[in-house]
Amino acid sequence: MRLDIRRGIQLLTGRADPEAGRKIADLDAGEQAASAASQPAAPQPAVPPAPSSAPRPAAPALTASQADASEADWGELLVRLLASAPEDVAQKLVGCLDREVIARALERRSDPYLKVALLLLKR
Amino acid sequence: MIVLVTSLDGGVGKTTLAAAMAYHAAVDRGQPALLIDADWEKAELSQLARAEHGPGWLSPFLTGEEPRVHKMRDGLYLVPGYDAAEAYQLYDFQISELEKALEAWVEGLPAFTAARGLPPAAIIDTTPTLRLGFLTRLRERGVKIVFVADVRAVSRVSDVKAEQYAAYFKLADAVVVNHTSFFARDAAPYTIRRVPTPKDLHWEAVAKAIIRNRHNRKTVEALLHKVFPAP
Repeated sequence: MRLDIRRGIQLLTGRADPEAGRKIADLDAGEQAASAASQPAAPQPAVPPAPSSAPRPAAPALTASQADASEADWGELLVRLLASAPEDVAQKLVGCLDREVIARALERRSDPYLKVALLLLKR
Repeated sequence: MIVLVTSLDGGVGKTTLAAAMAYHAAVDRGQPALLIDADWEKAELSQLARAEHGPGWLSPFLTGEEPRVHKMRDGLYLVPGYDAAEAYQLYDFQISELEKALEAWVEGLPAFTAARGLPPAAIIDTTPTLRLGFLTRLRERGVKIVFVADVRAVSRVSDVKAEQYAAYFKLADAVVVNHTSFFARDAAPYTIRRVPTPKDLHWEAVAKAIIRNRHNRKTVEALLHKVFPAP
């Protein structure tokens, strides 16, 4: 059973602000996405790119062999999910994730650019 | 200013302590307070306060109804929790839904109390073993966490239990150990000693019984000074 968080907070505050409580109401979305991405054994369907009005850089393409080898790799799935999501959604997801989890996902790939990104992340 | 009283184990005295803190704040210090009975397992504070059944803290999110605030005495009010306790038994809830509703209360409380002429300072009584992630989010919103334990906290039942306690201790703004033995008295920062159970199990009788003990009174005073300072 789900509660209507937005309606409740609008009643408490007396404001018909559609944004009120949105962050709280959307907590599950971020948690579920992160949880789904971090389940190593569960088969995950490919995440289709969500529509977004703002142009964004294309997600880095994976080769077929890489995709096959990493199908069950939670780190790979997490990175692919974040890279293919609209920027605002990706920002929200990153905000919900523990910094260590993101770092561990990035550490799975030996890449000089990622190493620099990791240094920045851990600074 | 919001204080949340929580614990790892049940039956450690969260509700009693919340009532004693509210009583001492409102009656002895003249500091009005709003209690919220967010113990969705039992709603014991609502029972002790003899609050009427009706829409409580969960109703705005469950049915869209305005909560019926119960006046406990001058300067002390309660948002009851019968609705949440009943819903907890009846429906298949994810805990995260109840957590979100409580977090929404924290966000909406200033506007709620201001619009209804209620005290802006609140003490929230809760259910045991709230998740650490949820408590962390509340702390980030400025909520003070009071963690209540009994002698199990200092008895080292097992390594697992010790680790669990350590995690909650780390998060808490104040740790209160209830029903302390002589051994435990020096080990905890705030301690409550056992007092005779009052014949009338009414919130005020319980709160008075706690505070009548000089040691307990000092504990509650120090605790309020730390987490519920007078504005």
